[in-house]
Amino acid sequence: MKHWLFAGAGIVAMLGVLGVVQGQPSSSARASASLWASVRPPPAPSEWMDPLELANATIPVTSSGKPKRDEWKDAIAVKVLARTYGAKRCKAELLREWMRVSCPDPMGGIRQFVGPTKDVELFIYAKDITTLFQDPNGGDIVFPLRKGEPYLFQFFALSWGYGGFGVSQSVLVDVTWSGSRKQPTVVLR
Amino acid sequence: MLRPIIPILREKRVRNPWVFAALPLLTAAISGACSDTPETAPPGSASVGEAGSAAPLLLTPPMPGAPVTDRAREGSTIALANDGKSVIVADEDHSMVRVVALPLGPDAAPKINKEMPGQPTQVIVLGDKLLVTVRALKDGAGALFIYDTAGADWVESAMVALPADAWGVATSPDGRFAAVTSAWSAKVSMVDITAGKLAWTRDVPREPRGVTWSGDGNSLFVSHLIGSSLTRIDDVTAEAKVSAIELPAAPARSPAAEKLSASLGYALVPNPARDRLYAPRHALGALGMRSWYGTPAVDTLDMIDGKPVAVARGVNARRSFIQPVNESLDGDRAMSRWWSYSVSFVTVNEEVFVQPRAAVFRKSEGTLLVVSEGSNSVVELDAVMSDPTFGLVRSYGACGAPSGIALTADETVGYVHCRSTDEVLQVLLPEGDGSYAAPPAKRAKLAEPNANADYAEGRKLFYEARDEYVSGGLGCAGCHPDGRDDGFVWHEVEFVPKEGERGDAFANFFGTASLARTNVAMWKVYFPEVHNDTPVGVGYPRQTPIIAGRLKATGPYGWRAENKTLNDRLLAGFALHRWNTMEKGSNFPPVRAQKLAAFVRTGLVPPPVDPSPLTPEETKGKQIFMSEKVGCATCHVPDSDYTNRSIAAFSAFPQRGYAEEKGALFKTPSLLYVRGSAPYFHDGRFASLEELIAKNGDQMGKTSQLSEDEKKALIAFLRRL
Repeated sequence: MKHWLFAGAGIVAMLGVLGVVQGQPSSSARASASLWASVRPPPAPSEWMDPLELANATIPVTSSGKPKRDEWKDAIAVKVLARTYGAKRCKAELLREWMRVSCPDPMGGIRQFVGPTKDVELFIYAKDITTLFQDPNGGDIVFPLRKGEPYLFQFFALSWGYGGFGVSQSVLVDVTWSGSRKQPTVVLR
Repeated sequence: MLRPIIPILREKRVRNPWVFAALPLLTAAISGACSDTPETAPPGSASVGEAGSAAPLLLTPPMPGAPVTDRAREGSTIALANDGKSVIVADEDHSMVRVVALPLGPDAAPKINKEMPGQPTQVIVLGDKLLVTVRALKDGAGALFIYDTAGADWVESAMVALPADAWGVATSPDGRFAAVTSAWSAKVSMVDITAGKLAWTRDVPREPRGVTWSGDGNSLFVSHLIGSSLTRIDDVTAEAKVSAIELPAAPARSPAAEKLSASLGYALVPNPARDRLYAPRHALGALGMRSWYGTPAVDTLDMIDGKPVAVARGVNARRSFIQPVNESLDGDRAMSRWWSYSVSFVTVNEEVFVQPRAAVFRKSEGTLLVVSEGSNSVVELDAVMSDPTFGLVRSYGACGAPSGIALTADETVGYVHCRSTDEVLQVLLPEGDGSYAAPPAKRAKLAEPNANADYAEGRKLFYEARDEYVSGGLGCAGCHPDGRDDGFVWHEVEFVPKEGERGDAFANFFGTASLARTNVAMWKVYFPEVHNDTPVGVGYPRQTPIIAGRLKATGPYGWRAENKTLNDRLLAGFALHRWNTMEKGSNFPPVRAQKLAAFVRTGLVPPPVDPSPLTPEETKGKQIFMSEKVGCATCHVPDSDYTNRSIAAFSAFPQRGYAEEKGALFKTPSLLYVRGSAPYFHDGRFASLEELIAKNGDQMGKTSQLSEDEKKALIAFLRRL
């Protein structure tokens, strides 16, 4: 019992370190969620096409504006490195230099750990626990692929534990494009 | 259900008494090839070996793009023979090179046991040649032995004397040159294999260990046991210019706005394309499960542009969560959420490595195999990830303190050298990422256990990170690699129960001030009867001491001489990081302390020292050291390992980020091996002996009265201790 108390306290402590308990700026994410509402974006043609290897995709080096929702219908599906069962259920699409990673399983949240936040979109289809298992489901991450700008995102699934439900770690999205590489690397694990 | 998170604070830490390295500090000038430069010589300061001049360094430069073999060109404690029919092991603990025939059968044992004139550290097979690094010969110099193995018997074709403590070795793309690190001497040398001669030697920061070449054969990369930066040596055929490469430890798991240090950088492994360089090590203070001491990390460098592949965690990175999860992330409600930690930082699987000792790239799978000394295992990691510790593919059980690994040509079998159980283990490596049923392991016994059973068991415990009573997640060797130190200054936070309340006073160590601060706050929330006397979250600074060769005395031990014997000190160490939860009255801890004491007293090999007579300058320095006017020897008594083992008052001036320690009494530390234990003082405030002598405020002897020449002489003497 004592150990668990320590463990719980440890969580709190760690949150303090991370600034979570002081409140992180999540307003933009909330705004994003309300803007997108709970309507699934139009399906992209890529959903029924064989995806293109990301290594063979043409990625503009110029910066274009973040795609609007209805623009994603012109995206192409790209094949990224999906390492786990859960990750293989996700899909990746490319529109100009913009990538959208969508994971279909019921998601409790998404967090960005690394990378520029400008123009990044994190979107969860469910608004709360009552709509978690309704269709559409899952979540999307939208970000630009730019050389020298790595990203690290994580999807979170709903979990149960002491005191009710919460979230646990799900698919990790690891994006790197270092200086010497011609193409970016995107790994879902 | 979640496992208990964060600091499940348990550990053993042989917090031995070498308090602040006071004045009398030491040095051992090592080999003739060494230059006399400060141990913190800035990158770029060059010393030259036999060549005697800075250029030209290699008369016949390496040929780019002409590898003699696809096999690993980085040394390890074990290598597959050229014909694939045996493995060759550098058995450091028995000063032998052993050959074990393959395949391993029942009762497998070495077919050759070759005694070496010193401790062999790494081997590498290069066609019909075998290269062996040796820490120190009788004259104190390190060496690279080159054997011709084409015939029935090995023929020593060359023995190249090197700076003391020769350790890591890697061969050039064309196989004509070998780069060798000398750990204690803090040098890197280049050996012309064909000529059997030393080409050059360069000064580098402390404890260089792993070394590898760039794809074009023109640059070297070097890892260090201490610190997060790598060393790069460019233009190896001409100028051999030394520079530092910033490679922050576990940036994606660092506390916000903190840049972390690293330790245990034994290995450095490139991918086959040689555009990625992997540095498996320990990130001190990184966030994660049981994170009081940090977490394992594989930090990755782009070898072409010289920049880290990963970048720091965003302070204000975004998040999006459903309700009511989202609102629970903020404010007081977050305090009671069992799951909150999982959204706060990227965690790595708990089965990932502890104390990485060696690594090899598995080209066929795109994975990195890391030998995990502390968990007695080998882990296979996804090398494509920005930090491969995020991608644990599989974990293979191994044997005691694995320290090296070699793959077969088809990469379906790995042979692992296990140090504390003296074994070679065969590990079958499956393909893909599916489930894996491990077949019974085949193994070869290299040597019988030490006749002293306590010593033999203590040897295992020293490396073991998961013993319930001793380690608490990080083994003794995690902070005292090779019995030395990690160069790190920890935050020791003392907890004292209020009068009449339960529990004993105890301390805990944290890697960073922020971790200390938040954990103290947490402690007060859950156990209000216990308080700490130090300002919240700061803690007293305690630099990890060297212990090898410094444990001969009966006692006392401890920062304040609070433990009468070594066993007592070890027991106190077991209680650290455990939140005082160790079972009272159990017989297990004392038994373990007895075994560990038996090993650490005699089994840890002290750093090499120069046996040659003192130079005139060093002799002058000794006279200064011994003089009553200066007073060094009053406390640092030469006859008792340069300490009087007594406590003395020390006016510590607080260091930024730590608590002020008023009226502190510290036990006089031994000055043995002080040359190689920078930074100095208990709080690591002085980066070099020069700085310590110049700025100690006459608290370490009366040194302010000395002339510059006298100071220089004193330092020269200290380097010989």
